[in-house]
Amino acid sequence: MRIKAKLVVDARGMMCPYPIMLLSLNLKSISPGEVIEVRATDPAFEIDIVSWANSTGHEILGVNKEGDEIVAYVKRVK
Amino acid sequence: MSSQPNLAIIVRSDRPESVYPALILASTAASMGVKVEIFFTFYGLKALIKGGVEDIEAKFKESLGGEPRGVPPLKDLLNMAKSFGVELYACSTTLEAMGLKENILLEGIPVVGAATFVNRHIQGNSRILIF
Repeated sequence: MRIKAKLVVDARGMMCPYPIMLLSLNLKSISPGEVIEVRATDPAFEIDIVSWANSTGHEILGVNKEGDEIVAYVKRVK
Repeated sequence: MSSQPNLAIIVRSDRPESVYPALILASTAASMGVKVEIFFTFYGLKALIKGGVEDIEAKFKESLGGEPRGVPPLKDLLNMAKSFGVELYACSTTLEAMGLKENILLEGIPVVGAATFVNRHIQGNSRILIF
């Protein structure tokens, strides 16, 4: 699945909490309805992002695996 | 979101295994919309003293025998926590006990006592973590 993102965040090589932090920080710079793509190699990110979305109410459009990379697409809801 | 609990964290140690997880949890929770306050007391106050997080990080590197991989610098974690609205408080009794003056602390850190912490968290919806 390929989704068009407004912004791409590179969190590869960073461990918790950096990928989630970078996602949260950068989400502020896009508008509601727009999508952010986050690339991470921290294996926990795949599970953590679901919890993050549950708490924040933002929407995960998809999570892909590309080799060691986890690529998540998140829509800013509000 | 209104039913979401607040997180109240007490940091009483300047050991890396106390300060890192406290700041990681605090900044992550704040980025998820949780209201977070951290009360630094006893040796934990070191994290709020100018140059303190740098010293704590150096201790961590020394025990690892090298650079920690993938972990943000402690100063960045502290700044991220602040930028997400985490409130940091210094314990007044600790300052006095250690003979320290308020101007040794990082800018803008309120110095409060136990009553303030108790008043803010004894009722309502706070969860308390101690590091």
